[in-house]
Amino acid sequence: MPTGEVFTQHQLDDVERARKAAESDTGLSFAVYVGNLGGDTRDYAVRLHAALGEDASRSVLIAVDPGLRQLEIVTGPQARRYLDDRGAALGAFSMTSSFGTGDLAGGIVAGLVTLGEHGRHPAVLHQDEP
Amino acid sequence: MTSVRRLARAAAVFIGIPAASLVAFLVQPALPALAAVGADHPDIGENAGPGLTVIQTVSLFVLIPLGVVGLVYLLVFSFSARGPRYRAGVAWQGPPRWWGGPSPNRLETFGSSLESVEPIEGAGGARAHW
Repeated sequence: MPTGEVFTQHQLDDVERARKAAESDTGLSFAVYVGNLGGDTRDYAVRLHAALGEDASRSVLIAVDPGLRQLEIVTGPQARRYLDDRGAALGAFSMTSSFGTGDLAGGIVAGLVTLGEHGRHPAVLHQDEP
Repeated sequence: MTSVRRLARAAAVFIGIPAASLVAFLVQPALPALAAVGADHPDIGENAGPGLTVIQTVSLFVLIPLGVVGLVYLLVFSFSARGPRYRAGVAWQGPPRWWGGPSPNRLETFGSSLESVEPIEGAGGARAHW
């Protein structure tokens, strides 16, 4: 399925807005990937996350493979301090419950909201800006 | 005193109502005969007039209901079927969709193979299948 057939412009904007909101709430970087995740989806998603560059350590990657119905959330070591695996699992749960009804964009937005809420932390200058 | 009154009320309910129903049921066949007494002066509306033609009957009892059903159908699906719709389990074709991903230049450097990208130590996250 090419992108043009899956998302409307409205949905594309919704996801981007939710991503920006999650970033401003948590101070972390969020990236969303929708596409093929190859054979070993976890390995592929972890490498995708590393490919985000020098920012990867404080990045959260949401990788969705609609064909395999597989969702992978990868948090960098710094991002994990604020968004632990339990919070990531809650985000994954809110996403898959929407995916199950066929709402791909809505699920991604819901996941970004949940992850943004769980990754929220007070800004501490000496930690966030070394 | 009150118990006698209560007993009388119960008797009225449990015997009176079935008795009244029975009388009504028995008298019912005799009603047309009773009405025939005043046949010289027919009531208003007793004359049904000429019957409907086949075309009138069909349009009244078939076409109009079908029209109402069709209108509801159109109202429902004209709103819900608008825009693209994601179907679960259909393999993703075409380029992946990124939000906040690496820059296009950076994506080109590792191309389609992510083998050269080393995963970051200490990454966490979650995964889910739906």
